[in-house]
Amino acid sequence: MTRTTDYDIEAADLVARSLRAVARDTDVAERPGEALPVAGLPAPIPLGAQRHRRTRRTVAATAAAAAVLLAALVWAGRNPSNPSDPTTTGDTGPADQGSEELPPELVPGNTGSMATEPGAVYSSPARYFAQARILEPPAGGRILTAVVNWPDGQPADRAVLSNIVQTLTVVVGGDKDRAQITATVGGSAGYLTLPLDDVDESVVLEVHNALVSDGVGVAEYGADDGWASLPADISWVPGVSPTVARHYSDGDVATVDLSSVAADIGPATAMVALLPDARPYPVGGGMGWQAPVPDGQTLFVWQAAPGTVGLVVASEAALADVGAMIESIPAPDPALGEHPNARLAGRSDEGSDVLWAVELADYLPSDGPPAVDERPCVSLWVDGQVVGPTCGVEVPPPSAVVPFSVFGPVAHVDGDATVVFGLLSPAVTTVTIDPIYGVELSVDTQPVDPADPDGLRYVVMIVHGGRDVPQIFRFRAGNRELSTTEIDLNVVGG
Amino acid sequence: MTDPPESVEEGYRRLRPGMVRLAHLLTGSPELAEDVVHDAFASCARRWSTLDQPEAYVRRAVVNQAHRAGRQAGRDRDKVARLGRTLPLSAGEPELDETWALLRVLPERQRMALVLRFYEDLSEAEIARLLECRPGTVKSLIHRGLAKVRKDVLR
Repeated sequence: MTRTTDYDIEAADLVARSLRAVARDTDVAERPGEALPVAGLPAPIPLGAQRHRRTRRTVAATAAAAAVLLAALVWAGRNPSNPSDPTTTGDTGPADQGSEELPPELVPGNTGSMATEPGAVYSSPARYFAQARILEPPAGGRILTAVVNWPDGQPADRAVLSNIVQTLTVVVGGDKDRAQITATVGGSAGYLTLPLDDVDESVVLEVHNALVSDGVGVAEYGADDGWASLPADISWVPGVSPTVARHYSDGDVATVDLSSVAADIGPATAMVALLPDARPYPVGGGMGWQAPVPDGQTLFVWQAAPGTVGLVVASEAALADVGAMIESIPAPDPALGEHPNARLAGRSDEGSDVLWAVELADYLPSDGPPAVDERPCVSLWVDGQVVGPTCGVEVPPPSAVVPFSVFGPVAHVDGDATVVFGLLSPAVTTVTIDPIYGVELSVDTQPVDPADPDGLRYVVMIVHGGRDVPQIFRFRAGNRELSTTEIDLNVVGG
Repeated sequence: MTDPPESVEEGYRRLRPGMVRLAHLLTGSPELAEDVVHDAFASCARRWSTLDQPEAYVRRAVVNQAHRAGRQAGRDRDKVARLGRTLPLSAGEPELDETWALLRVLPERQRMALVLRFYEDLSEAEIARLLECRPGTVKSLIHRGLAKVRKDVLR
């Protein structure tokens, strides 16, 4: 039975009947000589090992060059804010890990669009400051908006905006032919609006006009009409921050584009807003994501080192090979005292009604004496907002009477759900809330640092309803109850 | 005693007719449909014995291959010629022919969303997983497709 929900029932019925009629009339008889497409049977499959071998060679070659690219990025990051700095396009000798020199194949001044020929290199030494936002019309679809500022008050350039749009469509999708770009005349700001899904052209144009008119105030666009607005981060997108990239092909269909970008990948919720189908793909202990992107390609983006993002777009290549290649890339040495090295500790399940993510950030040692702020920090993100950055957390001993250092409601979402967050003793394996409206909620705790399963643990509980009376939370170690606490779910952060 | 697991050959014989129909609807081309189903089974064959739900897996492969074939057809610029070979339906209802003619020229993802929703009877969430997009996008695709039918056929 076809579920028609709020569709145009007459049109839906016509479509359904038409499709059934076509299906009924489709000739499904097997052709003489047609055989099962399985190797070893009469008609071997055309997708054979040959393509796979070529892919492996491509990936191996990519891996060999990856360290050079990442090293080059360390170099490119030396002068990140001045695209006209002549040293950033200088012709220099070969580079190796940690070198300050560009590899010889880098074409000086090549700041055009992403390379498309095998072996071609793309480099962009400039850093643009982009403030991005995803707007979602109530009818569905997503529109990416960004205000892009040129460094040092340099005049905005439409060609650069156009290149950024083109790269965005490669790594996050969208229709570049329907994108809108505006560079202010004589000013240092540019504006881009890119529909990521199927959205009316007139709507895109209206949003773009609002963007040019209001700048980052476009975040409020349509708020009264049910539009949603999510923060996004495009600083890791090639061409927005200093980038070197190289294109590889097996000469057939498999391609791998490897980039390194002088940036940090955004917080989990900002990444998920941009790549809603992304799933965590940590690399070498750094935070990373894997996501399907347009044209059947797959994107891998990961924090290769503090201040350096690795990025691969693979097409028709065996993902296992690509993954092995990524894992084999040595991370460049981080600079001291610069960036927090954010790692994803956990996130909401696919299809969850409340999106959340827990991040762990280690601050690198600085020259000064150790301080609380340099201890690990744990952040909870709920629906695009950080609701609980907590640094310098002491781990409660297993025997502690109060088996948590942080516990309680941190956010109300959609009027009904309460997000409860806790940082707990290693002894706590489960947190249970007594039945609300007959439904008991029990959530297993997880280690904050997967590399330290015996250390601090966290729990995120989504509690629906139950704000009418204080609720009893029970902390358990296996089947043994350690303690209980009574909490008023109405009081967020209380 | 439980039945022995279905072999890939048995699965192919059983599922092929339905998958060819689906591929025809997804691509708009009966010729392309044969290729799509062939490639879809080829991609599933090596792991057939490990599949819990072969039908769902093959369906996903058919959708992926149809998407890929549609892109290739667009690149080859023979889409117009392919679409020219429209066979009239035997249902004797001209509006069905008109609707099918319209569906074939809709943007690919709109057509796929309509086929998966109103032929395969999948939910928006299931379609979103197959098309690798958000349920809101699926809803939008379906609404736009139906609006086109309303405008061009039902007028």
